[in-house]
Amino acid sequence: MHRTIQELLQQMGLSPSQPPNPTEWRAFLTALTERERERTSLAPSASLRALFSEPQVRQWLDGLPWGVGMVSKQGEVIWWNQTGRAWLSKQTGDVSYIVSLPTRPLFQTLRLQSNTLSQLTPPAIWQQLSAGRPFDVLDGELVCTNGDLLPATYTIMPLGKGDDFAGCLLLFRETTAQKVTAQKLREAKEDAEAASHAKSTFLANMSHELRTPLAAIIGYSELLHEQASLLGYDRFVDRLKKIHISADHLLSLINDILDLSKVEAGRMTLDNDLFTVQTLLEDVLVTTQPLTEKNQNQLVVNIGQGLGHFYGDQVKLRQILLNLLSNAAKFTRQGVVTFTAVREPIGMQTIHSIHQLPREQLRFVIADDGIGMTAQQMKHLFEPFTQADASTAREFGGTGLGLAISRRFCEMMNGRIEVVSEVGHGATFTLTLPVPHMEEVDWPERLPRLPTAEPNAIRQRILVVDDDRIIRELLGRYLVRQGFEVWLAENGYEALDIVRQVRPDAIILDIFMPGMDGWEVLARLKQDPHTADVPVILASVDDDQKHGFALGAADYLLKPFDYNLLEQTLWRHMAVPERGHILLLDDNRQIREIFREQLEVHGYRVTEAGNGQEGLAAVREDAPDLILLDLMMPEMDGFEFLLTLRDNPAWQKIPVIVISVMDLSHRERQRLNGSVERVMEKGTFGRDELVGQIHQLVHARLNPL
Amino acid sequence: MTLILLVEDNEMLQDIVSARLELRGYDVDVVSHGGEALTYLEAKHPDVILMDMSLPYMNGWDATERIKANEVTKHIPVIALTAHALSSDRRRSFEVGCDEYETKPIKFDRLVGKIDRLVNGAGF
Repeated sequence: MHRTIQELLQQMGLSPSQPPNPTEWRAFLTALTERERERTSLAPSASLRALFSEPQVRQWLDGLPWGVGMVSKQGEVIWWNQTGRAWLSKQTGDVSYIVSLPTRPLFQTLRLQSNTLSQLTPPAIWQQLSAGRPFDVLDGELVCTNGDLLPATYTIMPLGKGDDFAGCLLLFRETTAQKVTAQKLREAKEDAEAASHAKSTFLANMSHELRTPLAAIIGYSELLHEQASLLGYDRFVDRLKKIHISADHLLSLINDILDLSKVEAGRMTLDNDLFTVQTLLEDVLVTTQPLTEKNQNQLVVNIGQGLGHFYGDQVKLRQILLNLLSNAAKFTRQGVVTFTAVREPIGMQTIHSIHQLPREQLRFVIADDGIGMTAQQMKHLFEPFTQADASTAREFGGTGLGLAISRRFCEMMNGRIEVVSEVGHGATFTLTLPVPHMEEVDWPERLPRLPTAEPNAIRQRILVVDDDRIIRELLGRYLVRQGFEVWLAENGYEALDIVRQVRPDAIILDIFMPGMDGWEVLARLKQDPHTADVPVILASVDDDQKHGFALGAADYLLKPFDYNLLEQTLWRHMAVPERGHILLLDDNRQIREIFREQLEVHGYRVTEAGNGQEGLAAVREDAPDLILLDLMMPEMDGFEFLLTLRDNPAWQKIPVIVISVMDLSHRERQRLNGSVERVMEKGTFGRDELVGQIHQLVHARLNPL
Repeated sequence: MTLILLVEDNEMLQDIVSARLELRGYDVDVVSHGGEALTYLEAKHPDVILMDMSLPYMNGWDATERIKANEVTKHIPVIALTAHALSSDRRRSFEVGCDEYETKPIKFDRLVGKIDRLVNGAGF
């Protein structure tokens, strides 16, 4: 190839063996054309024929591994380079074989249907070309001499435009190979999908097929065992028990194999819903108890406070915990198994605002002081059916698949299982699961719970049951503003379901509802020992209090609601003694009375003091969670009080809100700066705003991040 | 004597469940599908219904819905028996009016506990 072409190609970063994309082609040809014009000093308006009839140019073009066709101003392909000729006459391999092609209109060479040009008519395309606009077709077809279609990627590049239009170049690369590959890939994909589908159907069918007869074996052996026991056939009892145990073991194996297959096939899904962690753990521990007792082990339980609820797959979590606990119990004899569960922030975090949520995780630690494991055993611990597993499975029972499944389930939930162990000194398994953020959760359409700013913090939980959507929403949002966590149910069934899963601190229950009415819901709640002690406040337009109290309701409210009365009633009946303790420091008794009344409605316990000294005495006796302070007081004024208060390290963190009757001077504000959380000038804030500020500060104080 | 209506299409389960309940002193009547259950309930009222959810002809959910919609039978407690442990199944059971829920394989002691609670706690 001529050096100039080589240089040009190199300059553009193109290699002759690597076909360029349309943009690169155009750039290359433009550069070539420019050079050619310079070299031959032909006028810019020289015809294409003139330009490219230079033998030198043709030689270069012939050597390119891409097809190049010259299209005249009249729209006819007048010349093809060697590669182009070869492809269009379906010659392969030896490009030195020259075949001349007759001149042909461009639009006979392009197959316009089903490509990007097909929207335009040939005249329209030509008009655009002569105006200087190029066309790229990524997935097109060219018509060969014998009428066959050649799959190709091509670019039609005009040379000059308008008056200077000298014709076009058709640059193309045949894509037969790529098309074949693409087709093969499509077919392979379809085959794979069919196979995967067949696998799932197989798994689903097998699952049912295997479990059904096994359920019968287990069921009958249990029944016969019971009957034989009753009738005193001791010899039968023993043998029937053995059938039962084997059948149970077989069922575990089948379940585990099917679980593992499903996970490996990528067919396992998470069945997520919102559940109370404590309840799940209690259930797990009850199931584990007999296992620990079997080997005379002791089970020590450390379940933290505030585990709250978790949006996840509780069936899988239960399975993992049972697996870890039963392993601990199995491999320990006359030892101790410790189970710890906490909810904690993940790592170090900088909290910039009270409303920013820390990321949290649940951490479960299962430790035993049993036989422990060697480093070698630990290496293959989470793999199914390894050498160590097979022998241990036989000796200690179990399927050998439990940990493999547990780890995979754990990974599906974005969690981790880690193990530390020493031979002869037991093992410690740690399972961590990140708690999904409210925003990440794909809540079902009918949201049972209203979003709050800080969903993970500990706050009182109220369930509102009413078939009237507007009442539900209005009351719900009011309660959220007052700092509660609110759940909504529109009928008795939903209400019972929610109560079972998420234990509320109180329920506001409408009586007249279609389907199951409030009376029935109340009766069911009181029947079930798990829900009987949740205070229920009945709501109705009718005054039938006696009936309600007889059935166990805690209180009765008339609709339409007096929200103040409603809130007071809630606080009166909830198991939480108080929402917080506030100290009112103001020399005006009337003002203190007004504030006290307001704050008690919202569940706060209020103590009063008339001057700074009394205030200090009150703080000393019973440190409050928040102080409302008037600055102008006799004997010891607010400023002095604050100085003394802040001097004491025990009281430094108590939030103070200053309520001032007058404008504070700049100097006075400076004195307060740093000592006081808020300054609220009377007349500039509404009652709601003050109460809101109080809620926020007390809540932050009682629930430190 | 507490009377239990078992709605279950699998013959072996019919046999096993009714026999074990009878050993514990309950009376058990058995029908094979939802339609039969509704017919049965026109003539007789059991103290509790054990309803398998996947039944032929009319599934357990539909049958329960009808039982709970009928003034005459809606007070009879229904315990759903299902092979699936999906949370959506549980919700659905409660939505159609089931009073309790039990997954197969049935833990018999647990089931009996639920039956007792529903039967003895009922009525006010």
